Amino acid sequence: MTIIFFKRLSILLAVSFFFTKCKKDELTIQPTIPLTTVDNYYQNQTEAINGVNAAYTPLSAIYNGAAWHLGDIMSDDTDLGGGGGGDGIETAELDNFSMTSFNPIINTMWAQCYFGILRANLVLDRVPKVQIISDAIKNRSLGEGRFLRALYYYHLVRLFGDIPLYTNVITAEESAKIIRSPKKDVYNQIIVDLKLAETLLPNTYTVNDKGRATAGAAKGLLASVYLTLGDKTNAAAKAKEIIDNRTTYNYDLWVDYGDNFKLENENGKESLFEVQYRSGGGQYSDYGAGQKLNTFFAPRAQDIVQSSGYGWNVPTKDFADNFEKTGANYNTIIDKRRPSAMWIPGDTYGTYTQSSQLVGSPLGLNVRKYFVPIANTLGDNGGWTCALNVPIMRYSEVLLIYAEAAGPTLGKPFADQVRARAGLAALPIGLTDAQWLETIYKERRLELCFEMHRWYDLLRHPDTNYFINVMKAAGKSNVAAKHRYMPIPQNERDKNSNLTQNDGY
Amino acid sequence: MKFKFALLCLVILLPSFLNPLLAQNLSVSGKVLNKTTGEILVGATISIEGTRKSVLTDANGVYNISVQKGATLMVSYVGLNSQKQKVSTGTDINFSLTESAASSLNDVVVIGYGTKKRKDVSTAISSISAKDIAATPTADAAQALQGKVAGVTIVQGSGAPGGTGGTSIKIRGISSLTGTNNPLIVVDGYPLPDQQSDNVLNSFGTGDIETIDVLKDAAAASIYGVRASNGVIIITTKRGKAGKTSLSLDSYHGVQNAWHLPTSLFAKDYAILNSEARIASGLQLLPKLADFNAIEAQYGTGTNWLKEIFRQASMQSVNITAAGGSDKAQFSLSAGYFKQDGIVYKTDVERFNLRFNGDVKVNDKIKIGNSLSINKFTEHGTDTYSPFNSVILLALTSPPTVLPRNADGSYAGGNGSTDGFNEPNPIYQLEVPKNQFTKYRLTGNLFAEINLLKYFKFKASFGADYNFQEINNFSPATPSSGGRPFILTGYTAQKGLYPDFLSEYTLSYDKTFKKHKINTVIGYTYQENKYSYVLAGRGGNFTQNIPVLNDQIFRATDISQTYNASEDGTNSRLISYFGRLNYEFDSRIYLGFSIRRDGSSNFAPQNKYAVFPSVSAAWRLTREPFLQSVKWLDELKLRASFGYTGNPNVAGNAYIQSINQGFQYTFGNSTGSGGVVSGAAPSRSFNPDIKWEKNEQLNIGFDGSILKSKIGFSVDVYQRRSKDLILYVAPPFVSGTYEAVPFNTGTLQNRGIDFSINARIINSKNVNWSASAVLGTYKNEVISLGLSAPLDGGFTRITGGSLRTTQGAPANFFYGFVTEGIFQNAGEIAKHAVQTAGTDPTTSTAPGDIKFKDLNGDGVIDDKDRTNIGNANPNFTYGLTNTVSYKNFELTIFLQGSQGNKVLNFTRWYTEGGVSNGNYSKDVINRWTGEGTSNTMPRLVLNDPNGNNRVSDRFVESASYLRIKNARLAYSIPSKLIDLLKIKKAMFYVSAQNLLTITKYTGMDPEVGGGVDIGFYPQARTFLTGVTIEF
Repeated sequence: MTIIFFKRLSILLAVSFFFTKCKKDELTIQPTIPLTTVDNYYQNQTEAINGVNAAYTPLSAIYNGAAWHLGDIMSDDTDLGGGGGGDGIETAELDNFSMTSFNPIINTMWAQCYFGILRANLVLDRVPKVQIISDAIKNRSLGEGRFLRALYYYHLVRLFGDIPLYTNVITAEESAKIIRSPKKDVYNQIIVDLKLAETLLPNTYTVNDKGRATAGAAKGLLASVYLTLGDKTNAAAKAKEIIDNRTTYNYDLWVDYGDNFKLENENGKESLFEVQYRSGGGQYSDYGAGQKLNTFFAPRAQDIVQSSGYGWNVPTKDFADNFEKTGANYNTIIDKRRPSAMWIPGDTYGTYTQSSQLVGSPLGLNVRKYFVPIANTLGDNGGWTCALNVPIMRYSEVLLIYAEAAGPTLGKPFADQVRARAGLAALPIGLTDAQWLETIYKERRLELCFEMHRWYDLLRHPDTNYFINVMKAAGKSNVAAKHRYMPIPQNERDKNSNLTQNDGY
Repeated sequence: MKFKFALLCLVILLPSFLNPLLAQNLSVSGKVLNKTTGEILVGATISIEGTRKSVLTDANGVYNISVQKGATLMVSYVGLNSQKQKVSTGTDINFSLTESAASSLNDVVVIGYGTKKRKDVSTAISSISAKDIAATPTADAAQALQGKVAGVTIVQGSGAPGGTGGTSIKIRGISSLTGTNNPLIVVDGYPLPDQQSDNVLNSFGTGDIETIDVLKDAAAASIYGVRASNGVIIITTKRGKAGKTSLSLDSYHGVQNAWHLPTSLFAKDYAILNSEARIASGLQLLPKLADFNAIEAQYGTGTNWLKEIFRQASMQSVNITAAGGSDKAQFSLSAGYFKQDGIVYKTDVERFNLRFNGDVKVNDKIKIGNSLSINKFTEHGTDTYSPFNSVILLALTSPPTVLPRNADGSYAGGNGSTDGFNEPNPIYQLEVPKNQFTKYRLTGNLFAEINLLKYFKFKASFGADYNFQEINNFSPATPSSGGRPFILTGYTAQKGLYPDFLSEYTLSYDKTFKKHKINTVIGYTYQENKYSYVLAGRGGNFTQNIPVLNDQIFRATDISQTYNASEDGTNSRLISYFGRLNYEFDSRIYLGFSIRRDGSSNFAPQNKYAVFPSVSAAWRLTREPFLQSVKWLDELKLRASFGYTGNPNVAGNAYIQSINQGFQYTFGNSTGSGGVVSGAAPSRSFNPDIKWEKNEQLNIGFDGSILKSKIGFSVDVYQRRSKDLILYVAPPFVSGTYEAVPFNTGTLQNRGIDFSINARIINSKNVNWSASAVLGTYKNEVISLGLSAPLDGGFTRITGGSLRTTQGAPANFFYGFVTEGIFQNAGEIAKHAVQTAGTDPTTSTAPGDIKFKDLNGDGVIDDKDRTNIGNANPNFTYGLTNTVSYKNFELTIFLQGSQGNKVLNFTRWYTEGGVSNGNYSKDVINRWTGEGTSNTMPRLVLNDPNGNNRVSDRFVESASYLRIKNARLAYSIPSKLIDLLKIKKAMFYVSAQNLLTITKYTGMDPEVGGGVDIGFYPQARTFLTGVTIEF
């Protein structure tokens, strides 16, 4: 009996195992909503474009949540302002050079750039294999991938120095082991990418694609990279190439400086590249579609923007004093750029008048460049964020790059062109190279104010102590040589023991 | 495929049918009685030992069976001791069964794919019977388990009617930090899908339950494999017995009231304190509140908002059961209706339930049967749980100087400009939005049992669990002068479908060879689970105030009028093989082995199958010669077991790197909200090796009974370790992704003791007194979090939450600051650490503020000064049931309690100032008002500049409690009268739930699920009257 039982049991078991084999398939089932994976996506033109679009997305967060804290507040142009106390404490750390490797703003810049880099790498890896796509879109997409990757690496390399550099579709395991590459390698990759991008990208776009990277944007960024590297020859050549072909790219200066910062002039003739925002409605988020600078920079609690205004990023006296004026008061400033760049006491908007002292702003100064008033009628339905784009590069910067790189003789007419629009006299003839550099630095400071360039200008000055001297003069006694590079975020180092820290942190 | 498998099994085993039995048969008959009461026993089982042959006694208690000479007849009946007798001649054999001893050694225990007698069990299984359940009238079987089973912690975290607020069942602590901690619930052999916080047990009629068996240790539960790491609760519903059809009616009706509501300030005190806080904050007084006496003259004591939202509520239940049948076929039919109004105004539940269980003997070899339950459950609820809009929180904080209604009957309420309080009127919140949740559930199976040869039994079972849920939320635009009225009408409708299918085949083999007994089962199951929902909503101006999504009713006039629709779902499949071998020697030594192999579609391809073995052994010492002489010791059994179980806790497709298509950017001339384009990119990495969580458990225990079985007891000691815990690990951002990825990392441990004892203290003709007690204690510890950072959770209105899980401590301890009293003067502030990093203490801290301890001594109070300030785990939980009967009266008193558990009473975050601008708790009267006035209750100030309300030990309270959970006095009509009325039984009872609660806890109820109290729906004190009649 027992034997029969075990015999039968073994047959049964054998049968069961047979079924095990054919059941493998039964344990793989389709989800209720079709699942897209990294392996089955990027099959057609739409999916290629969507992949590229995702590589642009980090720009919204970078320019909402990190670029102005690092580019302007950390520089001598602006201070934190705001409500005091614990308000914006992580930004105060940057303003006062007491930042640590835990600083969330530095972390945001690091993280968002790498999100963009992986997405650009995916585009560059997958789009060449896409079959159902026009050549124009394929080239454009590859050009955008190259351009965006270069832009993100450019942000990182200037801020952190040596950084993890990769151009493949990195896995999580690899990313937890990657080491920092020398700055030189990063810059080389940036230059390689931009040189390819300028050949792949179109010069202009039709209406619905305005805001994508153009050949001109790639050339402009490349000129900026060369200038940062001190390669004046190439910087001048690249800038000149844009200037000489400006009709091809449709570039020119607006007659009125303030036209650059109007909703109706987005992606206009002076724009090489800008962060594209649309209204995020009632939501406040660094990561949303809307631009929050409007709320954060407006005079604090004056209710001329949605959410009352926070009064952050307040222009310093040193900055404001750079504007040419005829008297002692700021209302005697003759520079035509001032009214659209900065609020001064006595400025009005409707029934509002800026007072001589505000919370966080002892001199009654505030940034006005990104001001979208509460009652704006251009479809911005308000809330915490607005639709106004933020410039990354304007044609006037190309003129100033050329002016700086080409030197006082060749450069003067181009610097004068920028000054003329501001209602200022032409520069004197016969400046020395050193005087010329100081002059152009000041011109950049005013022309490109609050466009998040100043800190990087301080860093790239041929005098390596320049940023220290300037910031000490601005009363930032904590500043030291180590601040040339920001600390590598500690939470990244916790996950990757191969990531070394910058000196001094 | 599975049908083929069944067929194959049949073909293989068919020849065994053909073996004729050749032996000398005798025909034996007789009558079976209850020895104590003298009642005839209908439906008692008479079986022939060592065979599968059995018959039942008929309506007159008479049986008839054909039996081989020399065989042994065994008679068994639930609740009575079995009896055996050898058959030597073909005469009548009558049996008189005695009532079982307290230890119920012969009770049948359901062990998963089989049953066993209590005395033969070698694992840790606790059982409760219909009688225990009936003593606690509730809609929710989980509540009926509370305090009845050692090692099972039931927390009724909400008093919402019908158990809709969720009743948490934890067997021997928690086993997972990210997955479910609910036990697997098996109803009539059907393992139901886990529904997270949705209560599974309240959809069934509790009157239908015959027994609940709780498989506690891994060796008992491992036959259920990957779903069993939290233990298994097996519910067996009532089935018909052969004999005369019985019809029974059980009905009760009751009233419920809140037993403890906090007190808020009256109008005048409120005006005084509100003004004091505003002065401290440098703000203007609210003109309305500036004249305290005028306030009192106008409002008297003011609106008592808690009184406005709480009410006396009724509940009722009717259940009718018909059961009976013949030797060939038995049935049990029941219909029930349950309706409970909540003690919070406008909340209620209603349930209809039907059940049909049937068994038919086709012939000697084949039996078929079914279980089927059909339910409809409707709930009208309100928000009593969210930290923002819970109606109870609104009532606690709404000012007494605000009225619910204006003179013309329209809704009033707090108004930002006049009252400084801009939250919705609680009455408006209860009356205007209509929230309905309806659950339709059909659960059932069909089975066939085929006896093969003498010792084999093949069983095939096919089942389905159809759960259909509808959620409708309608908030019609309705004016109110209070805060945040609905200006636009909103309506959302969600339909969710949860179909689940099961097919199951088992083959069992039972054989006795002299003193050796073997019992085996092998099986195969296939279970498929789907879930899908469609959700649609609209907000805007409705042409009629009725909840309809259609265009005819809805007219969009601008962009703020929204429309949305979405659908989603999951599906998964579980294919399993299992086997169990039990060996028994001389009713003395027991050995058990079981193994289960589960394949899940959710697991990664290289980890598709999980295997869970277990082993158990028991030794009945009282069967050994050396203990035979110990007269007072009736039974002593030692048990030991070890086994593995699992927790699936893997979301489908976690092993694939999916593309996130939710990215957006903008192109074109977008000056408004247009120009949006979508982007697609991975936002998380993936783990190709993801697999189930593994749980291993060692259990050592003993069962015994002494003094002629007057006292029975059971003790279990266990250690359970959950390994390969799934925790979500954030990737380095250099990976280009940010979503945390699940990894099998981390270990959790629970060690504990379960103890239960029962005694028949008095057992005489007129007086009976029996008592039982259970006690469970365990210690939970996170051994390792592996790759994961500490987990934070809890209260969502504070960054970082209030609970933390980290290595070396129990999971989910309260994480906060330690307080050192109150700053009495400016000197103390100057000497002490800065209370908030980065602030100027001269402006942010003032005398009267809380002094937080600088744990790391760095001169600044910051995140590094937070620590473990207690946890919600009790030292032990217990239950004590006493049943005393005198003649026809029976009194049952059930005490239940928990000792050593703490609660973070965050209701006080709202009512002790600083957070809301509304009313305060009465305790705030004794606040700090100057040096030396208080060292516990801080000064009043708005906006809390010092952060007095941060999570701290100030809010951690002892929530130990002892409560008379249930008391019932029943009277049964004497048997003479019963005969006269031609009924079988009639019983009337009065009962009270939560009659008395002894606790120091200051909140509404010490039973708080999760340990963080934000004023959840409190339990009611209930008084009921009921009747049970059997025809």
